[in-house]
Amino acid sequence: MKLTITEIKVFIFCLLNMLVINISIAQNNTLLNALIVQDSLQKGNDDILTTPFGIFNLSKTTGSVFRISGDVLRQTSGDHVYEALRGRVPGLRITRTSNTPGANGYSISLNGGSPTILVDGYPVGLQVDLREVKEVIVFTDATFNSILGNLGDNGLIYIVTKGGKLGKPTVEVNYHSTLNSATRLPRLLSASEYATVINRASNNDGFGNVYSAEAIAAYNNGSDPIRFPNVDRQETYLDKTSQSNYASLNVYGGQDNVSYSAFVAYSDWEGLENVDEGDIDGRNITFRTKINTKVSDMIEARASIYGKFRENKRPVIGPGTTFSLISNTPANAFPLKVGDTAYVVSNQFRSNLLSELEGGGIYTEYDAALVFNVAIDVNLNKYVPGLKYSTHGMIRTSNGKVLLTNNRPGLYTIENLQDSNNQDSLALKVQAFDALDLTVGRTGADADIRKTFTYGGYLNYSKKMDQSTLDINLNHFLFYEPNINASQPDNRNLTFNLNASYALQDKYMLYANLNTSTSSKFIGNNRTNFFPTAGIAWVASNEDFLKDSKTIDFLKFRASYGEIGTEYTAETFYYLNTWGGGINSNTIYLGDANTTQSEDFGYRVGNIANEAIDWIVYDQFFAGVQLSMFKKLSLDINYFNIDINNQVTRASALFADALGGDTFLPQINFTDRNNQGFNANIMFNDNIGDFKYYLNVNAGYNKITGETIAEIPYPDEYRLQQGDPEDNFIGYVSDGLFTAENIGSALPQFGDVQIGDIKYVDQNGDNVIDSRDRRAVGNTTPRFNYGINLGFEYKNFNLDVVGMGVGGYDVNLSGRSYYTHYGLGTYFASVNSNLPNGNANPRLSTTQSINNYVNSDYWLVDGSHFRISNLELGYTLPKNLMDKSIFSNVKLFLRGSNLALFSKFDDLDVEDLSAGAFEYPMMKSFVLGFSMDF
Amino acid sequence: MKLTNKVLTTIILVLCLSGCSSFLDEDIQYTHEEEVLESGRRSRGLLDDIYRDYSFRYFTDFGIEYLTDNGVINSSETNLATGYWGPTSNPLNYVWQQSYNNIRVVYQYIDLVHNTGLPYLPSEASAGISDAVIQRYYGEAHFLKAWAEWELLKVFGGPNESGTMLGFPIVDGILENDAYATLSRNTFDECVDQIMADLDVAIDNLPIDYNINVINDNPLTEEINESNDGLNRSETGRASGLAAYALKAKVALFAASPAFNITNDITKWELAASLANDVIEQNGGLKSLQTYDFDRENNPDHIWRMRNSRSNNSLESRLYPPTLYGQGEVNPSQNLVDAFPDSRGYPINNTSSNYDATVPYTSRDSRFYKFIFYNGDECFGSANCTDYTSIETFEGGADNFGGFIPNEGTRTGYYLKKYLNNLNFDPSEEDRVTTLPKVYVQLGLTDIYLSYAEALNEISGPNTAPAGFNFSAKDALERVRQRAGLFLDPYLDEAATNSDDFRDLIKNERRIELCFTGERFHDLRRWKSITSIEDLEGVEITKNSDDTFSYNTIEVERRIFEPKNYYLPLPYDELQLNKNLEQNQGW
Repeated sequence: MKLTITEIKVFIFCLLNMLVINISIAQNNTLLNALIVQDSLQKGNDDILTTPFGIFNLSKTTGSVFRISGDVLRQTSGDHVYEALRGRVPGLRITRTSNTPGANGYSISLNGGSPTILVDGYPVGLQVDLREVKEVIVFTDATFNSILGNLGDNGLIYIVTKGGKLGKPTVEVNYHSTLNSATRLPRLLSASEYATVINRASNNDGFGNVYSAEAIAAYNNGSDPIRFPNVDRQETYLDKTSQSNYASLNVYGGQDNVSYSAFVAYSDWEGLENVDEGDIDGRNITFRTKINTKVSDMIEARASIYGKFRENKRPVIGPGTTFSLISNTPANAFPLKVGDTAYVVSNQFRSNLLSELEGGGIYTEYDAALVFNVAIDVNLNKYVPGLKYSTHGMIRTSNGKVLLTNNRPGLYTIENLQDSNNQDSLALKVQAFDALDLTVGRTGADADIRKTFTYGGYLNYSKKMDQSTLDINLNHFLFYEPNINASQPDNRNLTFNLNASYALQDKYMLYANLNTSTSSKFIGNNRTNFFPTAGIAWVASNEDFLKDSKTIDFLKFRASYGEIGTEYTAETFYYLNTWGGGINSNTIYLGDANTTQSEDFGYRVGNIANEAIDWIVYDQFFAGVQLSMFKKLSLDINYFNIDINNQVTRASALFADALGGDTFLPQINFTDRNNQGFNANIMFNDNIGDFKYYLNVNAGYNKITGETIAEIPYPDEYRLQQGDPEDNFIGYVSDGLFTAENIGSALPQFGDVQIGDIKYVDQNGDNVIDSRDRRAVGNTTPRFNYGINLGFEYKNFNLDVVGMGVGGYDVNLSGRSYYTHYGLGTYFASVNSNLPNGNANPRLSTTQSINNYVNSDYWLVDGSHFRISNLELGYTLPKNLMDKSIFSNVKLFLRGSNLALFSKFDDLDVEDLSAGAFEYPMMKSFVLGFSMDF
Repeated sequence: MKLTNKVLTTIILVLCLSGCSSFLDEDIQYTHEEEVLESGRRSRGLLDDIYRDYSFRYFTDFGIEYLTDNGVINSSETNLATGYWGPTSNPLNYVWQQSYNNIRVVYQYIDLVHNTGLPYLPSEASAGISDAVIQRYYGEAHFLKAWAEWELLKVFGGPNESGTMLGFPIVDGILENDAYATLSRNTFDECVDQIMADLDVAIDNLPIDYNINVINDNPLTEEINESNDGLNRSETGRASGLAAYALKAKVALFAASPAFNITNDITKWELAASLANDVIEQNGGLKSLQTYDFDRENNPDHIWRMRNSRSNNSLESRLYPPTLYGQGEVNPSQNLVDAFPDSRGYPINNTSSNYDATVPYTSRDSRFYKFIFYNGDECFGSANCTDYTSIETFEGGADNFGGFIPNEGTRTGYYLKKYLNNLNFDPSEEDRVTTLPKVYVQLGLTDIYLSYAEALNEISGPNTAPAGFNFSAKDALERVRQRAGLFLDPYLDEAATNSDDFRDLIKNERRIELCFTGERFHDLRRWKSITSIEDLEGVEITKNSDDTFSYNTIEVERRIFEPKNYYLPLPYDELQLNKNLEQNQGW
């Protein structure tokens, strides 16, 4: 259990404080007498979303809108919104990149591009906690992408947080506790297995045995654990499970002229390390307070504060080093300790993880992120009916500090010496003297505080007529992100939008937006550019001929087309001649006096100016159908075809190298790409009596091809990549391993090839294998991803399962040390089995073969996989029981995540092949918890 | 209330609109072009930057050495030297872009800085120093350009399909970007002329050297060093007049060599000899050579050398044998070891040699002990010292695979000692020296003496100094062998009886003296002898029960080259873009 009594006390104290403050504010304002406008409210059939960019009627939109409620997302354990979105949204692929407790990393891709996260409409990154999410709305098409201009080129993930509800206060309490264990850990070799492999490699090269038969026997029988150790590192250093806890409290409500919400949440975690001093141990507290007050009939003020404070204690060596040392140190390298104090290492493996965990010192990180929001809404109904003005500002700050004490216990090697009687005896020789850090180091200066500012506002006009509705928004939005690194410029953007939507008889919908984007990355006439968008939709089910249909409940066709401009991603301003070098260029020393060069030494061109550098333009076409039938089945499909034009490159492949370094070429708008694909969602739900069940399948497919790319005009056509997928993997085509039969006819390739080396196909028939024989042999990003959600409710029980998968890509193993075996250093148990694609390991050698590790299809493995990512079994206490209590809703639940994985890889998790081997493993979790509303 | 709101709204709107334009134009924290080109000192940093490409090239040189019969790296196979070398792979490809880049920077400097007359120091009072420094930079510009051209010539020079000897495309300015894809190669002779012309400009503008030889207790020393005239000792490492002379001699020798002088035009040898002679005369005659000390920063034999940071020990930590806590990266071959003569200067296969194959490491040339870590070695420097525990490269020894550091060993039975300082990495000792200075020599006097001997031997044989020359080929070679301790040198006299034996001796001396400088690969090519080198061998040493050793020669890697390897291929990708470029013969 991670919570100590003191921590619980502090936590409760914080909670109470926050409640008191909020409630007192709320009470002060009850004197005023007016109504509060809600963030999002139902007006008849209309579904209104109020954003910082204007007010949008989602029921009459021409755009693609996918919505998922916070309650559904919260069936996932933990506090991370990305984890909850996995497998839930069509076309949204979320990949885990880091599994370190307290520092979860994800990469996210929507229809093949990177979407923008908006929290209540603000581009602050993922500054939101899963437990405060009311709803996530995913906008994928041109209709909405245009509104954020530069920021919204690849879709928006719009997260709405709880609050803004009128009525008596709602209190939600949520607690769950999680037991985590590694899904997969690499298979490591025992001491005798390791020694046997080393002997094999050494003998292959004619060097003879490195380990004697006696030594191998001694490793096996454990008779002399000092001289012949056999250390199971995974067992030595890792616990089977680690625990984490999550608790949250959410209070929201409102009366007449004031509404408020207060959210506070606590999470803690610990690592798998079983050494107390060296275990990861951290916690964070997140809060968000919102308050809306009506100042007068015309004016309403809104403010909110979000904060997240995180503390994480870990050993000074990072978690990556911990796991690398576990994986890379052979079982026979050294006994961990001799006596009580002497940590042992060998001359080859010079780090002792036990000494680092027990005595290496502590590294404590403190991070804080804060977001402040203020907004004023002005209702101009009095002057022009339906006219509103709103203005708002946001400041986001984040920074981190680290306290550390970096120690190192003394390390010793074991030496075999002969004593005075000529008897062998063991002696310890210092390998590293102990180093004790008596001070507490501190990193992170005030200048490292990252800040983002936004300022914006909109004018909205809505008019409802007999047959039709009209909504017009005019908005401006300013985004400013000063860079903390002096050598990089700031991000400065300014966006204006004028958009109008018109709906006639709820059947025909039109939408148009004119976006003006301005960015400091361009100069002259290019600095500001106009990007138009238009959308059209037809609700066929509202036409007379379908109105009374028994089969079709709803049918809507929609299409949108837009141009969206984005800046280049580089921090450098390409319209400027810039120079580099000089300062601290201490690479050359002249003279024989001990002087270093002054800072005037060594300058070179960094970038040649191109004042014509222009916006990258996405020409986006989306078309979609939304269909509901039999009140049971609903279907939503989007097709997209996006031309990504004028991407920025130096096109250096088109110019002779004789002109010098690439820096002499300006950056130009040159590359054109095309992204085509679809995403779809099918939902079926029904009930048999009390038994309600559903099945939901979503899928996304896309392929990005290079339409115009800079490449050398090779005479061998198969080498040319224009028109091919941009994620092509270029390599040699393999033809098995050389055998005694065909080694004689080996074509010249990379060095002296021997039996057991990889044979390659001579593509151009010139009887040599060289770089001209390389071609596309695979692709590296998944073509499609899908999710399967299913579940049922019966009586008060529910069972919900989420599965997710990706397919259509290849994983290259040639650079991964777990699968490539050579030298006399580290080996893994994978050396004794075939590669996951069934290919045999090439010849084992003490030297690195150049032939075998060039990129080729020999090392490619189909990366497709499917995992059961989440499962919840819940029980909701019966309603009649609740009516008598203060509670309105109480639910108990059992959850499991990452329960099963199906792929070609048996040892490692294909989603993150470093996991478990060189960084934290993927975790399987079992959760027990409850939620209470009252 | 309403009024206040309107006013507020208006103010906010106005603030926004007026603030926007300046908001986007905020100053950016870059180094702008003007900040470099309008500063007298910084603008010269353009040329200073080029030196980066030519300093501390040790590991690049070793990479080239692995293509010869001199050595291998201990962790990886060598691919290009073992049978196939295709037109798309050239480990020296980078020379093409790097050299043209530096030539471009030189023209950038001449156009944008030198020709504008920008003074080095702004004040009137320092005009004298300023002019001297500007002149020096102008000379340096031409030297650096010539060096880039020399590297292009050395790597890419060769005959086209029809046999015409070509060099590289001469670029004499900054062209339009597209024009670089239309360049064609100048003839070999035109390229040589271009380099010589650039070096003549360098000689006219550079001080002959930066060594102001003042005695340390001379009260003027401080003053001279403080004078900061841009020509004093604090600038050694920059190109000097003597370096320009030396480069001319090197280029001329390359051009006179069999692979590039197909008709054996004797005037080319004459030019090479006389240019080497110029260097010797400019240096004050045929001086004795200094001892090999790569931590010595004021060695007068180093004609062009740059030093690294004084706390750099990357060479030692990567090259030391395992028991000295190194990684044993470079393994010299048995072939190289066999090239070292015996202690009296006789080749080990000579009948007069005192070499004994059962104790191969006793009574050898002093350079063997300085350059190579061998089994039983325990010494930096002199022959009877004990600087460290005896090196054990025998089977099962501490410095072999499975030994002190199990995954580190030698593939040949040897480790490279040349260049290494006497450092101590033993972690159990607290007060130890783990860093010493290290210099990198691009042009050295040894090379010039050997070139002089090689060229003069072709004109007038070993013993004669023709008119205009004060020393014979033998005189020059004698200086080189004297440094190795061979003051009584009967074999030199024996070999000097005819040009052919003497040529072989020079080649062998070149191999030993310049081993692991990257020079041998280019020497083998220009001598057209790369096709006839032997497979690379090592030694397998067995420790006998009576503590003696048995030696068994083993093959480590094959060495197979074809006649086309006299020349190297032009970059394949460049040929695809520039149809005017002709590839060298055979590629």
